[in-house]
Amino acid sequence: MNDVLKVSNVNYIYHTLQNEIEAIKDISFTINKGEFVAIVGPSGCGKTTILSLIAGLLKPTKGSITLDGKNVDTSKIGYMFQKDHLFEWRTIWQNVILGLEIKKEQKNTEKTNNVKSLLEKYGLKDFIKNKPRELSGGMRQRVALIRTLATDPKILLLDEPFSALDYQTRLNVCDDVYKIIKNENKTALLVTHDISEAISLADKVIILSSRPSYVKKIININLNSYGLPFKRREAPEFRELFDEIWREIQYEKKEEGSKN
Amino acid sequence: MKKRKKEVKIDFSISHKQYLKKIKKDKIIILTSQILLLLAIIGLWELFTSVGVLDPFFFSSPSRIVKTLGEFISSGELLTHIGITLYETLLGFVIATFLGTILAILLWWSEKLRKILDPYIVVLNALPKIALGPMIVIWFGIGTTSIVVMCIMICLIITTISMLNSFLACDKDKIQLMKSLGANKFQILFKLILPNAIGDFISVLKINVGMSWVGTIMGEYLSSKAGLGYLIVYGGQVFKLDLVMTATLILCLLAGGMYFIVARIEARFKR
Repeated sequence: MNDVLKVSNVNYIYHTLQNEIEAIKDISFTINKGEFVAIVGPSGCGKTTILSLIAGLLKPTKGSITLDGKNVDTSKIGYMFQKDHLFEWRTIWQNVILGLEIKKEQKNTEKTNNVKSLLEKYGLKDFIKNKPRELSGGMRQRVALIRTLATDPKILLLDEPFSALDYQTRLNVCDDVYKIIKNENKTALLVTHDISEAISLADKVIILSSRPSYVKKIININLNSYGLPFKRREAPEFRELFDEIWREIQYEKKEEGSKN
Repeated sequence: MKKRKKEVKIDFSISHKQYLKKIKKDKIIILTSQILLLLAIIGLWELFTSVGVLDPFFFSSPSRIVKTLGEFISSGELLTHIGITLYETLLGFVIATFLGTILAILLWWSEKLRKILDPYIVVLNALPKIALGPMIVIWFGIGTTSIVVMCIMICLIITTISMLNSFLACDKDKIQLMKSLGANKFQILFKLILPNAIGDFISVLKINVGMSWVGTIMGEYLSSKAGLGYLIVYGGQVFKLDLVMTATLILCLLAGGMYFIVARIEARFKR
């Protein structure tokens, strides 16, 4: 068995005072080791809910989620958000070892050395004593990624990690983050509303329906030979893939429109 | 801070030099105006009272204040009164800030407790604390304890409310991040919520500087044998306006000084 993450028949209902809402209806998919998977779907389809379920921050109403065959353990998961959420009162070094500190491993030299080498490898070594506000948006996002990698998670969950950046920075950071994730041989699950971003980064794109969401289609992407995400946008297949995914999401919207 | 010292002096362009000059000039104008305004008030006050436009019996005068101050200093009474009021204010300030923050942490910790206590806090906040005066005097007697309790009553609830709002305003994603790193509630509190609220805490300190003086002087009005508030009330009752004015002036200086210290602390944190 090669799969790291296995989501089987997951169902999630949340309650409000007025009624209960079925957010997720019978979702199943697997992610293999080292794979980069993207989830796209119409807005409000519960993409973030899925990440919270996988991270173990929410419990599924039905179904199961396993990580390496075991029930999810939040500490085995790395979570990256839209904003970098670096703590302004901490230096870059104190920020990246936050996870180790929480696990009381900040004195474990093997782990801290690993963090140091990550910082060095990705051009942040000279900034470890700086405060986050002294860094550019792209650098900050790299620091946030290293903070996530510091605890050596089994899988990275990326919740629209580039959407708070301006367009140019976004393309650069996208390449940077992709490089780091591939270099460190990490498995990643990205949630995004940006179809181009999904295609350029992922090996596999999962298209969700609108709420209650289920998996509409899983599309395999094979653009590895084109290099980094930015280059992949120029691939001839890119348009076709884009159209295919676009149609799936649009179709969804029309269907919904006719219902009302 | 260290970095700033290391900065070397660079030759600026002429326009930049002019810009710096203008800022410096503005600063000087503001400072001189402030000093001149103060001198004008003192001068006119002295002039009007000496020529008889204002009756110094009702309005006192700068020279009379200086005279009263001199008598007070030479008799050694002044320091006792200042000492007592300062002690009460600082004690009330520290206890109220500390208790208020602890209370805010407890309310942050338990949502249920927060909901249960919500109406009580709202009512206590809205209540004019001076109404509790007679009760406080009966329970705690005449003197320091009552005054400090009054001061605490004035500062406590506002501290709790401000700090709780600050704690609750913490970005949900940051809490999510801490959880995803495996943090328990203690770690979320000490590594995120509290350091994140430092800025608001300093604002609360600033508010409490003012509030604790209000509380103490109010407490001294109600029940006291010494202190600046006592001097003001006593002076008012026996129509010794010189005394009232002198004590008020000292109060201005003390409150200003305490605010200045907090502002310095704030500047240190912002760096």
